[in-house]
Amino acid sequence: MHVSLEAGNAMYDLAVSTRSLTKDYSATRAVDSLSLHVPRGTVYGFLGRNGAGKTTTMKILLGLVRPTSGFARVLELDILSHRREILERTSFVSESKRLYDSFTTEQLIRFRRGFYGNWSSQVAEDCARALEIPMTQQFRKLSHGNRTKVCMLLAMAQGAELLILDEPTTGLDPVAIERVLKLFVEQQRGSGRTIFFSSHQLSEVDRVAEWVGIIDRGRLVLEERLDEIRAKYRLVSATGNSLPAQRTCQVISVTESSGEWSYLVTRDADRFAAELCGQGARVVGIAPVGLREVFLHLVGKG
Amino acid sequence: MLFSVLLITFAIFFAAGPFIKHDSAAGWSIDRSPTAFQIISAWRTALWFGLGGLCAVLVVMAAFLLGASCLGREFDYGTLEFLLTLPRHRAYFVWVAWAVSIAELLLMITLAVLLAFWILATLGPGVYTWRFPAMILYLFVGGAVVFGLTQFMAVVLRNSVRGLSWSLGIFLLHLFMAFAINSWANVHFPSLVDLILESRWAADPTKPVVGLALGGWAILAAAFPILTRSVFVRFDV
Repeated sequence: MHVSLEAGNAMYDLAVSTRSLTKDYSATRAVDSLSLHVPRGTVYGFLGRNGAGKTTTMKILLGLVRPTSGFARVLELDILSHRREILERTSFVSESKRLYDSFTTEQLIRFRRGFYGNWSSQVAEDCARALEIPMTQQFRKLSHGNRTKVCMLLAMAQGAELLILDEPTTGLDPVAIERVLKLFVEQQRGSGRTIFFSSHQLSEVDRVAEWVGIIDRGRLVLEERLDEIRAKYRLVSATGNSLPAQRTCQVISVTESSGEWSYLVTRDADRFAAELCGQGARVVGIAPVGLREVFLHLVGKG
Repeated sequence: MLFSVLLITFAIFFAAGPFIKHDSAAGWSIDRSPTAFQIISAWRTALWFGLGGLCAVLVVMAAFLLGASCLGREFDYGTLEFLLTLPRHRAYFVWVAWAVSIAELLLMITLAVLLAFWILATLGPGVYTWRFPAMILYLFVGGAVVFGLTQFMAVVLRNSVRGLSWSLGIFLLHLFMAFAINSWANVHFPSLVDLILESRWAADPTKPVVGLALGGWAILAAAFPILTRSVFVRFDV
């Protein structure tokens, strides 16, 4: 089955698509009716606060967690019936980044490559060189940063069409982050593979991602191209009495601080500002916003 | 610690054997000047029970440890995500872990039994070496049951130490139950220790090699990996 997404004037084939995906843990709903669309060949940043449902979503896509309800397809394959085929074409770096302690990097590579037909020793060597990974040291003796790099190497060399990376740069120093991100971009441009990654570092996502999905309390609150976000959203600041406090289809979020109201609006900010003026407000400014402001407005409220 | 105590007990039993006499009329007594024949005969008996007991204890201990570690360790070390995102069906990991551990167990039992037979054979004739496969079979089935139970508990409880503790608890409980039913109701309730102790009959041609109990335990040994698989393929990581 061919799965695609229409966004703006473009049609995208999808590497990942979910529909009404839900996961309950006893009384807790970790993922709530999630409908996600990750276009093929793109870098997709998956954002959310701690416990928002990012890791659970990724685990569902990899067959590590069974969804309570809903559907998900990865590389056009159903996650429940084609788990093994999906895993052959997908690589994963987990948040914990735990591998076998007694294995050296070389042994981990030897162990791992036996499972994948598309394994690239050249990519492994390039990664090891670029990230300065100690190859003969046992995993338990590596620093947290080097462990992360080994996980990245194994994921990259696998030759997967889709990389699912759960907070891949956590624990890395700024130089290593820079190298990993560069590797990301090179890998994606060179091979056209899809990178679906979660991160708390908004600046990283801002730099490398083409698409962004923001999840809050298990629900997807935003999914857009990053350049669309930059072009589309505006922050309208206003002061006055009895200003509207509710969200509409145009107003994404409303916050109030020291008598000043901030409206994150999409589409036609000037007309919205004019409407506020009509209600007796004084519009302080209309400013373009970046990913950070959008994220904070969407998930940082209350 | 347990192993040291067993070794010391065995050594004392072994050394003291020729000097202890048992007579149904006179009871236990000490023989201060045993003949060479008595010494060899007693040491053979001591070795037989000592080595047999050591084999049985080693097999049970190894089965407990192998059962706890082969999949339970993945939970402890947090490597399960790494393992289960390899492109294989989850059942593959259960069967590979089971097959490798069972092969290790079988190898260990075979070496231990061969060593025991070799030691006994060097002390004189009378060891029915043609029956040693039966002894291996008894020990192997007993070990496989203990291994399977421990592996299953480690997977259900997602922790090797907890799995080992529960498995040990169930093992001891079933021994107590067997003893209690036997004592109070005078009904023979088969226990794993019976099975393992039966292995010593391998040296006695008058005893049956394969019994009904062995078949029952073998079915249980085969059922545990199937149960483990059914849990392992379903749970959330």
